[in-house]
Amino acid sequence: MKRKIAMCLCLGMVMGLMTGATAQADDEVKLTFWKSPHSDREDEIWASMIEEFNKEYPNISVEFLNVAWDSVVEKETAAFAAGSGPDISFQTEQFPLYAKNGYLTSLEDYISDDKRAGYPESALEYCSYDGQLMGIPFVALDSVMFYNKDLFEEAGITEVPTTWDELVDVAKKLTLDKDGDGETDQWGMMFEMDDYWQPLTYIIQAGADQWNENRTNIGFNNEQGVEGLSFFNKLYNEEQVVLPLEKYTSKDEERAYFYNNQVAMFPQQIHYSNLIKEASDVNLGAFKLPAGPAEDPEHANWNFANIGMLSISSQTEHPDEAWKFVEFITRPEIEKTYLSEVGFFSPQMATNDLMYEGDEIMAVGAEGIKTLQVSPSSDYANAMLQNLKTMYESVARQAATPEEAIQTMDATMRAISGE
Amino acid sequence: MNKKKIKEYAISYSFLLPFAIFFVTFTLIPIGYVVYLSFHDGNFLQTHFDWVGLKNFKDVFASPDFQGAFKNTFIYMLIEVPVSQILAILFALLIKKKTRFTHFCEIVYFLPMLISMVVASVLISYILSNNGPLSMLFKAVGLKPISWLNGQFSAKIAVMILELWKGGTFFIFVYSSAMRSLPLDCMESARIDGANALQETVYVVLPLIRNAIILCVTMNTIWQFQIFESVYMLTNGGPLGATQTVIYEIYQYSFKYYRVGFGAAASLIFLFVILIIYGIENLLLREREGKRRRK
Amino acid sequence: MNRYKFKKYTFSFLKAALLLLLAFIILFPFWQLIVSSLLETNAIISYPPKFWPTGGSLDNYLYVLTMQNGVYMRWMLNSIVVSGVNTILVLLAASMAGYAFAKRTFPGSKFLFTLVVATQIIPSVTTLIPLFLIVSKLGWVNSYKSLIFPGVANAFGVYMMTQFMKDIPDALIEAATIDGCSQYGVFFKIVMPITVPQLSLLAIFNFTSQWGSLTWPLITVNETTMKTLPLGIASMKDLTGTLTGNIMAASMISFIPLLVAFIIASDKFIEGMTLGAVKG
Repeated sequence: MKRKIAMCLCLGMVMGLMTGATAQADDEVKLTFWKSPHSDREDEIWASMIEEFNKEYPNISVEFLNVAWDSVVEKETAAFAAGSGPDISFQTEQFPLYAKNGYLTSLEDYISDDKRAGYPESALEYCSYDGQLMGIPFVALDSVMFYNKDLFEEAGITEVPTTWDELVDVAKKLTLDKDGDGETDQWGMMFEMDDYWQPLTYIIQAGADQWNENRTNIGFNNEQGVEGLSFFNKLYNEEQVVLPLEKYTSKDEERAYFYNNQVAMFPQQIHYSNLIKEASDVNLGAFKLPAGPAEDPEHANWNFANIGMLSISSQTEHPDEAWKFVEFITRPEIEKTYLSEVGFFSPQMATNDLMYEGDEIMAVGAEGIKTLQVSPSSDYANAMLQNLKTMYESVARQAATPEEAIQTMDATMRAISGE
Repeated sequence: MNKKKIKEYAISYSFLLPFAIFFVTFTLIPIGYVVYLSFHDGNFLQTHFDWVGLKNFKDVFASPDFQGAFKNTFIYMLIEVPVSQILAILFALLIKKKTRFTHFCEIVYFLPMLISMVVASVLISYILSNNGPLSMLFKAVGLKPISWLNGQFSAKIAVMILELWKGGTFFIFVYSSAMRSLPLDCMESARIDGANALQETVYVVLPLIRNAIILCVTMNTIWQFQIFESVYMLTNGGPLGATQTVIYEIYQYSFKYYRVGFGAAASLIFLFVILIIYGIENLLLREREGKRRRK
Repeated sequence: MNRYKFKKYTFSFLKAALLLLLAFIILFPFWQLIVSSLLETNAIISYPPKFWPTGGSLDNYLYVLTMQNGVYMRWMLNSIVVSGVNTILVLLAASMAGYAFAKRTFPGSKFLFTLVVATQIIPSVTTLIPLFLIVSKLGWVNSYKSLIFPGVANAFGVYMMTQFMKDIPDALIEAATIDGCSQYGVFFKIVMPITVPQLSLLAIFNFTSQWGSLTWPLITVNETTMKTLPLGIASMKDLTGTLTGNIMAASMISFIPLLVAFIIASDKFIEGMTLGAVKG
């Protein structure tokens, strides 16, 4: 008998939990907002931003969901395909896939001329598909070279490198065998193991393009592409100024080399400065990525930059309320809370003026943001990223020559896109 | 008579019913959809799929990624299955006599089955990492530490270590249970005949637990074919694709490359391959049973 | 005689040493989990590795239990409800189906059994989205229903229970039928009670796999408060990687309920293993 009562109680509890969540007031609108994390305090930051939003719009409740990066593709594909996509989502270079199939709302009718005027034309263009604005630019980032000022000083380097040749020279001076046991224990540079973008810098700075014309395959299966990848090979294998792959097996281990003053430079996206400062007391500096040999300055000065946007689903029942949220969040005085916490810039110059005053590292990044060249979006962006990593790795590990690696990449992309 | 039989059948089916409802809804219908997808091209975001016939199947066979993945999967199987089975039989022999000590061991050996693969992979990758305990041990005994996850072959070993640690002890329990249920008189007669422990094991115990061996080998083979999570967590397929498995590639093509039909076709080919292996192993089992009966 | 004794002792010593070695290999990662859950992230990843939580504290645990107004306990409640209810349903469905396959005759029995076994082989990554489309047609997205019910179609459980049920002597069932038991009575009053060890084995397998399940909840859960433990822990992962003190502490807490349940009932599970799936 007792057991039966216990079971009834359990069942009751379960039923209660199942139905409890749906009760809400009639006039209250509930929105869902999905974003992948850029900070380990992502949930907390958004909780306070949403609280702020509710002061102005008390009857719109927003449910924030932190979707892990590993799984965001599966999750959003499934949700949109089933008609239950998030009302508001954070979109990056993969957004044309959603826009093309009609899952995103055009914001042309919503955005005011005033708001539009706050953004550079290139940022709005990036967020458009077929001439329709598909999202409001929300975060902007570019890449810089982070460096350890103390190590530069020790090596007597006073000028930061501005060209490829100078980069090699400086890196050579910083690659040392400090304890004299015949093995290198300090390296000039490192490339982050999971990073898709930084080695690409050399390919584009040599004059090649990331994508072909249709954005279905690589645009660097050519002389310039080989030149760029050969420079990467030079750093790794000819000059051996890069922290070798066999020295680490995880991101944490790799970064520890920089944190422990064993690596002098490392190219990365600007928001890593927050991460480095939190994790170490390295005397951190930053400079603009050294320029490449390409003739036109756009290629020669390329660095990886990106925009993340806030988009509204075409499946939402409350597009007007969703817009209110997007509009509120992207106000300069509001968005700066999130952006400065994470270490991003805004595509709106008005916001950037409010942040990072007197921060010399962010000042380097801010220079780049003014002439932001965003890496193009594509349906095949994910496929490109996955395979770029393999390409760099096969060169770094000397499993293929730069030419071979590019050929393989070209063939793989052709197989994936079917063209 | 006939009516009675029909009633009996109806009762049999009624026992199947609860499972069947869930099975049809959540397993058969999705699989039917996978079969449909394998003849189409597109991704889940499109509203309609294009019929492409057998193109996906041809693509799978032509894909170097898949050839590599199949090769890796076979390597995992060919190494991990014998190693884990031999170890499991050895430890089952050691543990089969029930004492307090072996009971303690049983409890400990069960623990890896309780932990999730996510946590297990974090722990094992920490232990195998360059700064981890294992490389410290290597240094302490004067060996050059191995950077496990960096070598094309050692990374495969690392995946197998994770698989063995997480799932290998299961077989110890199956074997020890089979051994404990053996008739004691067989052993005694072997002892009287003067057999030593090794002879006893090889000539008496192993043939008697043949069914258990075949069951474990079949299960282990299927599990090894299914390796995905451990690779995804530990090496993400690298270095240079050395640890990629078939399911890992299916995942990549379906979700990262948006070629759902390709993934579906690969799944069906994969199913077919495993069924053939399963069939062969079943055939062996049946043949032996037949022989035994004839005796 | 002496030599025989010496040999015997060496043998038992070796035996014990091997068993302890394996126990050590198994326990060591668990020990590392405990140690690192007490340390700060930087202490975990720096060389040399730590084998003792010197300078450790319970801060990670406090952080996990108090973050976002104690959402962790909500995740745990979700996990308990989902894994618990799912396991009860699996036990019922799998043992009934296993009984039908093992002990009853009906047309198509062989074919259906093979079908059930074969479906296990299809990788779940391919059926993931089709499954989600069905669940969403049923209107179950982001509910306990979507977390509990799809997992009830546990083909492995049916396979396992069929093998177990084959060992039940037919005479026992016949005797009960002659005594006037109905067919269902035989199952619920005779078969279920004598398969308790096997059922508890299936229970622990199913419960642990549900407890650790990540992919499916990730697709179907849309609210922070609906997350299960693995999903919640996965969302704690940030740019710095997985090996952080907080994640280790969260993993450790999520392991404790399983450990307690296992230790309380360990005799039953191991008995289930021992009372034979496989006779020689």
